[in-house]
Amino acid sequence: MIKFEVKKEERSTSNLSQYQGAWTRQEAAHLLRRTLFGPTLKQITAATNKGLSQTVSDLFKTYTVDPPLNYENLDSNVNVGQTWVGKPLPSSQLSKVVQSRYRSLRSWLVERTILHDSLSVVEKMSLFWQNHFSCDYPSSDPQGGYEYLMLLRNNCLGNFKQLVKDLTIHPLMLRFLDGRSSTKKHPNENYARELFELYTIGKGPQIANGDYTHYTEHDILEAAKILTGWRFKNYRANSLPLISSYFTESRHDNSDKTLSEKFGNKIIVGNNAQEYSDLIDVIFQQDQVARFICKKLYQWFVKAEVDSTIVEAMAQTMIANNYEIAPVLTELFLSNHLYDITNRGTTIKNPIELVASLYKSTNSSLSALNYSTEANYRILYSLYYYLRNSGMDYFQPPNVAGWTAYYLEPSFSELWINSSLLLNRFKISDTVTLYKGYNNSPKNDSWYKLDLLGFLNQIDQFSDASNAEKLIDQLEILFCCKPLEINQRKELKNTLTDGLPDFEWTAEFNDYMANPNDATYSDPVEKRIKLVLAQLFHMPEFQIQ
Amino acid sequence: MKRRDFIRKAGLSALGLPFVVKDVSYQTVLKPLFSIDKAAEDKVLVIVRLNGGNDGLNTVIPLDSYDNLALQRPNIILPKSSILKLEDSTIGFHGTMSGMRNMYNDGKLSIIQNVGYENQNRSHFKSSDIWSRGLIGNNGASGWMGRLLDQDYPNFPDDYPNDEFKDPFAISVGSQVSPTCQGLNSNFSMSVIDPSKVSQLSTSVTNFENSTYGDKLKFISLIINQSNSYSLQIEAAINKGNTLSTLYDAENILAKK
Repeated sequence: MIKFEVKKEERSTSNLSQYQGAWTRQEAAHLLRRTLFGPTLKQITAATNKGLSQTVSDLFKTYTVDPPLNYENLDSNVNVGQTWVGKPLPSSQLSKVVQSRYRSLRSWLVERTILHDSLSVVEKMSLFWQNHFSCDYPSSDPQGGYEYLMLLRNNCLGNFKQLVKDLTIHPLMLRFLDGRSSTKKHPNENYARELFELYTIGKGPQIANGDYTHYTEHDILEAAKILTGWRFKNYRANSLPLISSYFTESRHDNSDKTLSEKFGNKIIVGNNAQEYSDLIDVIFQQDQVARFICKKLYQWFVKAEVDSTIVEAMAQTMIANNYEIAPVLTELFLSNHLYDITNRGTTIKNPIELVASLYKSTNSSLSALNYSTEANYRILYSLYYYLRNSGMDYFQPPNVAGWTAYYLEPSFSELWINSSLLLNRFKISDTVTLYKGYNNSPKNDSWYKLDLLGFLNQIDQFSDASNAEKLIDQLEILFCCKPLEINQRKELKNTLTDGLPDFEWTAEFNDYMANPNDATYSDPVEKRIKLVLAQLFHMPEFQIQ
Repeated sequence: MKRRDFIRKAGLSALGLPFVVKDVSYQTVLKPLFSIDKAAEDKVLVIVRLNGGNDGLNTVIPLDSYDNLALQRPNIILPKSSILKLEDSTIGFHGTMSGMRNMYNDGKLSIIQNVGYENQNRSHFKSSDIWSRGLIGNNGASGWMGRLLDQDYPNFPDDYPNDEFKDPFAISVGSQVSPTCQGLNSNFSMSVIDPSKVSQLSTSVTNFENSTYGDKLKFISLIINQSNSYSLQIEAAINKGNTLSTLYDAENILAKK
């Protein structure tokens, strides 16, 4: 049993030097909670055994995902179970099929975060960029939406500068922030404004009329001219080729542009289709860009209340590595700052993290149920709805700045919880434990709830699940950032043993292990762990990571 | 719900006849289980479940088997003189149960004795599982009360609470929801540690550490306390009640509840 002690907040003396302290399951679980969606006992145990350096190195391994599948009988160009990616839309019922493909894309996103159990920071970072480059997709072009998401995923650990360049001329961004209608005659400032304010250098205090510390209104005007001429074609195409961007020289203002003193009065020479890239190179010469993005990375992985010394050190690493993202994250994940006791359990889980810790941490993979593509996607889509109702539309952050919980001071992640959202959070944990599970179709009898016996079996692989104390230890490591109080553990164990001495649980669990396929033995054991989890999932500790 | 509805539905389908078990003899003490006065309609049904183990043979003692019991368990057999014999019955109560004996004799207490199932595997959990489900076999996980409520309120919990049903269907005092109230889709009971503080969790920390972590826990605990949709109804109900008994001192926690 883990000894409980109240740890007093200490003034943090930690920095980005490599962590040299004890590497136990607590530290491993902490790292994985921050870098994965819903780590499993298997992953925590493996990370503990491998050590810090190897685990961090593993986190940067990437893996591919299969494209989203068609699951509705609406798309005359694509069979159910096949992907619609790369396929034109049908001429008939086009807008209905667009919606159908978007539903598939949403389900696929949920599947990526909640169900894949690869030890990789890729999905956490993909979501980071979805928040950073928040874009409005749902009424758009499904192929464009897919490519946009894949661009973020494929480059999530790559070069920040290149990512900004690629997104600047991506069809969806040209549509979202009106680049497509920005011409020499009528340059549109929308994208130019967000390029400075939200995507690269960030808006500082307004220190004079039109002067936002790091850039000015004049820079926005000049950038808008620089970005003119980019458009996209084959929107919602019903034959090949599909959507793509292109540059029209006649719509571009190819005059020389002069930026403000914030950028050393730099002149951007007329350079047609390459000009946007020249502009971004100039913006990235300002170290403030590294500070801006590193602050957001710090808030994503450590806590909302930033330690500016650490952020500055991260920014220096980023500059030294020419805006490569992986070196900055590697240093952070290895740092003693991340493992500082004051940096554990500092954030309220967002809805995706919450759902992942229900399904994924209990090892309840949807694929094990062997449902049809249609049933799988319907379930995933109902989970998407749940996420949306919980304040995280996983496809449409509320505005161009992303989800408020990541920028609105001083509440930050507390914005994920209020009296009605909290009930929503309890509802989903009850749904997968006490209720029947998730299912989006009344005619469909495929339900998705936790695989509790499988979960018990997994616990038993890494510990002794027949021992009530040890079982509670495993739940604590898996679901709680810090050790629970004695009375909390007692209550959980009391639920597990039904108020009886520990040996009753031991005997019952062993009977089940000896007769794993006999419901006479498995039902009672399943019911006990179900009640324990239902109780644990209502605890404030479970809402935090 | 009307009492007669309850009994009718129980007889028809929801409950089945859980205690009719082949080859297991049982003896229902003669007072009929449901011979409660009709005026009791629409009252609250209170189920007290005593957690853990109990020596049934020294609580409700079959006096007609006393000699055999004395032979089998000479060390713990109660002296015959200490046992409280019930009227018109071969049953006796443990000597401390005079209050319950009086209730029995007044027709206010019934007992179902010798309840069990065939070829029992000595699993405590299995037994309490059957008990809460009111079913033998592995068909379904719902509790007997949950099945009954399912019939009348199939859309629970989605459409509740509402104007017609402001109150929770069941309150489970303790830290966990009641398996007895487990319906097909959901659990009808709401667990309440202390009815005057509806949302308080027995698993709540008592000290919030002075840190970001502690601040977050405190914040969530506060919202939990504010957010229960039934809390006002339950608190209003608890505040209406008074403890009439003078047997317990003011600090007795159970008496206060």
